[in-house]
Amino acid sequence: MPVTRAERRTRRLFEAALHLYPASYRDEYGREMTLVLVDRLRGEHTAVARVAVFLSAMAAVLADAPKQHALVLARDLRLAFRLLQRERWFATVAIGTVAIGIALSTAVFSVGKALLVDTLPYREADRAAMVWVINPRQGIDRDVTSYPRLLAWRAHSQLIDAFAAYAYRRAVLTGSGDPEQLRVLRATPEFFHVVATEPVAGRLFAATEEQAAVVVLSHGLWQRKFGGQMSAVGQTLRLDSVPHTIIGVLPQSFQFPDRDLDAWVPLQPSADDRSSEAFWLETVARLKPGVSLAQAQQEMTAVAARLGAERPKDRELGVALVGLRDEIAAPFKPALVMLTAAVIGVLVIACVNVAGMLTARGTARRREVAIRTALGASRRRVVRQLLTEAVMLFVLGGALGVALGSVLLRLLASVAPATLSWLRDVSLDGPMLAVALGMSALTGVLFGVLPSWKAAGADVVEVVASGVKGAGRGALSQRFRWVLVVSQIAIATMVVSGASLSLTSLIRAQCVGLGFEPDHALSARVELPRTKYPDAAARRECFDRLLERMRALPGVTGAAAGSLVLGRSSSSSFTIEGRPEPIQQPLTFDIITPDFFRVLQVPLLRGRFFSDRDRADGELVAIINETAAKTHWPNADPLGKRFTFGGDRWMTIVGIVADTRRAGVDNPVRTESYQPYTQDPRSMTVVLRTAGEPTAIVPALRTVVRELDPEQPLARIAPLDELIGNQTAARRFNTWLLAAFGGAAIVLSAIGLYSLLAYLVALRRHEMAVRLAIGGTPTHVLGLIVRHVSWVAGIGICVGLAGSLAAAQSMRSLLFEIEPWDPRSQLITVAVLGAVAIAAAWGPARRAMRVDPAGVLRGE
Amino acid sequence: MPRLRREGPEPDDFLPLPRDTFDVLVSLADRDRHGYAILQDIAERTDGRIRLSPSTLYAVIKRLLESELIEELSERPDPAHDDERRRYYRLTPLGRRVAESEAARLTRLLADAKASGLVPRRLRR
Repeated sequence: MPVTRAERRTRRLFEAALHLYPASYRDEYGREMTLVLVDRLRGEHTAVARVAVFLSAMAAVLADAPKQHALVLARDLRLAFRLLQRERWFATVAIGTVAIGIALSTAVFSVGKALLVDTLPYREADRAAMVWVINPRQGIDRDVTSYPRLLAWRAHSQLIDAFAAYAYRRAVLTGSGDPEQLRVLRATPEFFHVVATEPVAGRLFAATEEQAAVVVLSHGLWQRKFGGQMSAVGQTLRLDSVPHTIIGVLPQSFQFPDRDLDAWVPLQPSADDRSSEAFWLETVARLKPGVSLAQAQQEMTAVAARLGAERPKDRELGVALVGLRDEIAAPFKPALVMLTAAVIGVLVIACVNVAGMLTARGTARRREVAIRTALGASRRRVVRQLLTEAVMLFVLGGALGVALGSVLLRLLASVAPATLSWLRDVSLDGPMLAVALGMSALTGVLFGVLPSWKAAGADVVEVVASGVKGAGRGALSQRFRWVLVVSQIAIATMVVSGASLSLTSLIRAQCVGLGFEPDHALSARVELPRTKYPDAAARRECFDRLLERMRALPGVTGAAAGSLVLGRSSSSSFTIEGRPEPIQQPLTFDIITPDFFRVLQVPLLRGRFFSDRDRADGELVAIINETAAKTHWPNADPLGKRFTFGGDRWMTIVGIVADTRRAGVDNPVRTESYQPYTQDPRSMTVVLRTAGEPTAIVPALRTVVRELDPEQPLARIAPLDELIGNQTAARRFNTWLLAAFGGAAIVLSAIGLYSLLAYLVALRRHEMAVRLAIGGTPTHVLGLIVRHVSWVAGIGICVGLAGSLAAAQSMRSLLFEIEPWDPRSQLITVAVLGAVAIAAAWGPARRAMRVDPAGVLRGE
Repeated sequence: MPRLRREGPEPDDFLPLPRDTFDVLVSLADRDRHGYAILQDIAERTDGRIRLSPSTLYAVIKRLLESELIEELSERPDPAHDDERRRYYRLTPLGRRVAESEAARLTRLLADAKASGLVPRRLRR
C-alpha cells in the first residue's frame, strides 16, 4: 500500500512521542508499536476516526511512558540493592562516609549561618552601616562620637540618607510586679528607619519624638509583661519612676544593636548632652539608594577632614564606615572562618573517600561491564544501572546524613553557651544541605560512572584477559588513589592541627590564674535611678546601708562593691605629674569600696588598700595594678606619685595590687587604676563572699534590698565562678566543634587509608605470594606495607602541616597565649595522625603477612 | 545457606489477570499472532468495544514475555503473506494454563452470580 504524506507525518509524530519511553523499551517495541498504529489508521475509513485513533494512541503513550520508566527504575534499584547487599562492607562505609560528611557540614553551617546572616532581619541591610570615629589620639579605630559631631555629619553628608545615634542605659521597671532592671536603648528618632524594621504592633518613633516619654518594647518584654496582648500598646510603663507610653512592639527577630535589649526609648538629649564634646554615642547610618559603601566612606573621610580643619577637637579624627553585616559578624568571623574551613575539609575528605572507593570498585567492575556490553547491553543501559547504584548510595547516605545532622544540631544547641540558647530554634539550612548533597552526588556520578563508562567502551577481550592484575590499567587509577589519600591526610592534618591548637588554648585559658578567688562569691548589679536618688550623697548613703545589711546576713563573710567586678572597665588616656605629654595607652578607672580587694582576695603588693578616711574630701588617692606600675614606672617606685585623667584632679598612688583577669581570661591584663568610693556611685556591682553555697543567700539578699527600697531590683545575680565560666563558654564551644571535626577528619581519613591499603594488598596478593614462595619472609612483606604507609602518611602530614602553618595566621585571634606554630600542638597533631596511619595499616598488613603462597598461586 | 526454591511459578500465582492481559492470552489461544492481529482479534470478539492502543498492547506483551506466559517466535508462521518486520507471539504451556485457570475462575464467578440471581434473564443460557 502506498504511503501517503499524512501517514508519514503521523508516523513521525508518533515516533517522536516514543522518545518519552526508556531507550531500551523503545528499541525493543518502538518499531512494532508504530506498525500497529499505522495498521489501525489504515483500518479507519474517515479522517475524523483516524484523528481520534491517533490522539488516543498519543494519550496512551503519555500515560504509559512514565510507568515504563518506573519499572526500569524499580528493576535497577532492586539490582543495585542486591549488589550493595552483596558488597555490604563497601556499602556501609560509603553510606556512612557520605552521611558523616553531610551531617557535619550542614549542621555546623546552619549554626554558622544563624550566627552570621540571620541576625540581620532588616530590609536592605546592605544599605546600613556603622559610623565609627577613628581616634588615633586614643589608639582606637572604632570610637563612639559626640552629639555635636553627629549634627555636623548630618549637615555635611549628601550621600547618607539618615544618621541615627544611640546609647545604652539601664532602667528600673516598676509598677508591674516585682521591680525589674531593664536594658534600654536610647536612640534618636531615625533609628528604626535606619535599620529598616517594622513593628509587630503599634508604631515606632516619629521624627518629632526625640524628647517624648514613649517606649517601644522588645518582643520578649511584651510577652513577659503583657502576655503578647495587643492592648499593651497605649498602656504606660514606669521606667526609673517616669511614666512612658508604649507605642509599639518590635518583631522577635529584631536584635539590634544586641540580643538582650528590653526596650527602646527616644534619646532625650539634655542641654549638656547637646553641647558636650564627650564621646558617648554609637552611630548607624543608612545610605541613599544606589550609593556604595566606598562612595559613602569617601564622602565621610572628606567630611571628617573638613571638620578637623574647622574644629580643633576634631583634629586628627577620621571616620570609618563599616557595613552592618560585617559589624555584627566581626566577633564571630575568625571562629566561623575556621569552622567553615574545617567543614569544607571534612566534606572534601568524605568525598575523596567515596571517590577512592568508587574508583577501586569501578576498576574491579570493568570486567563485568565489558562482558555485559559485549553480551548486548547498550552502553546507556549499563551506565544507567551504575548511575542508579551511585544515586542509591547517595540517597541512603544523604537521608542518613540529614537525620544525623538534625541530631547533631540538637547536640550543638545543648552544649552551646547560654548566650547562644536561641540556637535551639535553628534548623538544618536548606541551601547548604543541597550543596552538601550535590557535592557528594557529583562525586558519586563522576567516580562511580566514569570508569565504567570507559570500560563499557573498552575491548572486552583485552579487559577480561588482563584479569585482576590489569585491574589497574590500574597504574593510573592506583596513582590517582595515592594522590587522593595523600590529600586526605593533608586535609586531616590541617583540621586536627586547628583542633589541637584550639584545645591547647582552651586548656591554657582554663588554667590561667585569675588573680582573685571566684569560689564562694556572689555578685549582683544595683542601679540607682537618678530620678529617685538625685544627688551623689543620697546614692552613697543607699549603697552604704545596703552593704552594711549584706555584711550582717548569716553566711556572708564579706561584702564590697565596685563599678565593675567582671568585664571591661572604662579607660582613658592620662597624665603623669612631671611628664609633659599625656600617656596615650589607656588606663582603666573603677571606683571601689575599701573592702573590694579583701573580698575578692586580691593580694596587695605594696602600700595600702583604701580606708574610710579616703572618703573625706581630702587628698585624692588611687591604687594601680602591677602591670600599670611596671609599664609606667618601670624604674621607680609608683607609691606617692600623682596622675590625672584631666583637669586638676591629681590622684596620689597609695597602693599596688596584683594583676587580675577581671576583663576575661581571654583578654590580656590591662593597665588599671582604682579610686575610692568618693565619686558618684550610680550603678555598682556588689560582691559577697560566702561561707557556704553562694546561691543559698540569694533570697535573703533580695529581702534586704526590698526592705531598703521596695522598688529597687537586683540584676544579674550569679556566682562569680559561673560568670567566669560564661566568659570562656564561646571558646569551649568553638573548641568542641573543632574537636568534633578533628575526630571526624581522623575517622574518615583512617577509613580512606585503610581501604586503599586493603585494596592494594588484594591487588598485590600475587606478588606477595611469589615473594613469599621464593624465600621472602612475612617481615619483608610487612616492610613493603610499612614503606607505603610511611610515604603516604609522611607526605600527607608534611603537606598538611605546611598548609596549617600557612593558614594559622588567620587563626591567631582564636588562640590564647600560644603561637600558631606552637610546637607542642603540632607534635600532638603529628602523633595523632601517625597513630591513625598505623592503626589503619594494621589490618591490611596482617592480611598481607598471612598470605598463603601455595593457595594464591594455585588459584591463579 | 541457599534458599529452597520451587520448580517454577504456579498458574494461580498470576490470578486474577487484568482484563487486557486476559484478552491478549485468549487471542493467542487458537493461533500465533503478531501485534496488530491481536488487536484486531480483540476488537472483533468484543464487537469493537475494546480497542487497545499500541502502548497498552505492548506494555501487556512486555509483561507477558517477562513472566514467560508468551514467547516470541523465531520464524514467521506465514512468510508468504506477511510483512517480514512483524514479530509473532505464542502462548507458552504456562501461559495456556494461566489462561485456563483464569477462565475457570471467571466461570465460577459467573455461576455464583447466576445462583444469586444477579445475571439478567436474557443472558442466562
